[in-house]
Amino acid sequence: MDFAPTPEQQALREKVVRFARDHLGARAAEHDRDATFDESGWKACADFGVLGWPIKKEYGGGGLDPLTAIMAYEALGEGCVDNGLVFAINNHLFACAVYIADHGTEEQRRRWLPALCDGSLVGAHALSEPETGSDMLSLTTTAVRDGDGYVLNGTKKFISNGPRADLFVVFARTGGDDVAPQRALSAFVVPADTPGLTARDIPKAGLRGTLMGEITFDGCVLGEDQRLGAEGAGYQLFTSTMEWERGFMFASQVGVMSRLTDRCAAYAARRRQFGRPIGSFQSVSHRIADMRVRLELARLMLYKVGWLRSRGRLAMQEASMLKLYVSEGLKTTALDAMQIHGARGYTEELGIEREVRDVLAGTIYGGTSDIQRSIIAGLMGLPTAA
Amino acid sequence: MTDDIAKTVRSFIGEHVQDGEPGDDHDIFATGSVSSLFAVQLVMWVERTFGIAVHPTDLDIENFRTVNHVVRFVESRRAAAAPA
Repeated sequence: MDFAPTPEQQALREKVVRFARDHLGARAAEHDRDATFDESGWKACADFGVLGWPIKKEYGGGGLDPLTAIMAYEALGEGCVDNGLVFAINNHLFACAVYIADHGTEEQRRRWLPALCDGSLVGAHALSEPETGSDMLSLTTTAVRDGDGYVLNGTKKFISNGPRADLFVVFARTGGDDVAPQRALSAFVVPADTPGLTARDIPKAGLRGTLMGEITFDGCVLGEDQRLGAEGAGYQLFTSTMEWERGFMFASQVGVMSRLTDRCAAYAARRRQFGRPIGSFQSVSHRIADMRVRLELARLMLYKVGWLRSRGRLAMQEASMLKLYVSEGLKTTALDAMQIHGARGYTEELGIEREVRDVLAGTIYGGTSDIQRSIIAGLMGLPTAA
Repeated sequence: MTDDIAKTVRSFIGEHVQDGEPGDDHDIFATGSVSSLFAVQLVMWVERTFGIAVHPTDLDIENFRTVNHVVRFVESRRAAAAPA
């Protein structure tokens, strides 16, 4: 067992943090206030290779192994203060591009991945519906066979990147009541300019630099070559790829945890009250020590997921544990950061309040904390509800 | 060896299928008699119980849909891992 990053991984990490600090996030407050997508930041990330690090080079990606990629995305989260931009990248990559990379035909990979990697297409993942969130087997969007293709009808809700996306991975019901739930769903690649597809914006509390929307499919005609994987394989395709979302999407959150922890330590050493640095008060220093412990544990869990994936192993339970721990831990860290910074932390002055709003959704998207606990318990052999 | 594997698999699946212990060719995913998480649970149990590595590319429901399919999967992985 070796806990040390290789010299190459360490150098990449430092390079990414430097890139993110120098080129991203300068207008984070503006994008948050106006709920706008950072087009120039997106382009800078595309040019730097961020949008394709884990995708094979032959499809326009960087070809990084999963562990190295996870370290790079952690560094991106640490260096980039625009959490909305990073979240848009996470969704684009881990909820859209990797589905095509893992399950697409050679033709689908060659058609879509280069444009996703170079940023000319923005990707999104359309699973949740107005009445179906965690209970994906109950989704009601249908893709009905029609000649050589399908007709897609239904509404998806809370779709990150939705109003800005050029390409969706959409889950829909292809099987009837006579088909087992696990075999009734299929996935499709659907361009945003497909006739019958409309999007509307959904305003939200945080991560406002990632646009979220409701997507309606009204008689969208799809070719068979737009189906991802076999018909009826949507559930297993989702299950096998969800590790990316639960594991890799939270790499950047570990980076945010690191940024906030360092920021609090620096502030507590500098800020003086009652004639001494506030960090000399145990109520403050212990809070920061707990932040550091959470960071260490989060990082170990993160690297284990990357290590397992780099060896071609499954990391389902580990990814659920990581997602649960990082999202809940980061919420605590962000609230503690606000407390340590006092009134300035609560106002817009330091951007801490934005960080707090941005981390809140982490315990909801990609499967709520309650769902993660149920998955972990279920994988331990405990009875499950569904 | 095959009988031992089958007995172990049959027993585990029987504990989780609502209708009780299924026949060796019964498709456990065809009738909705297992939870949505069971496929993953079964994969992890196979890894742990038989000491084999299941890779993301193995996550095909075809490998796990009956007792006999699971037995064949375990045997194929063991054969692949055995020294030549």
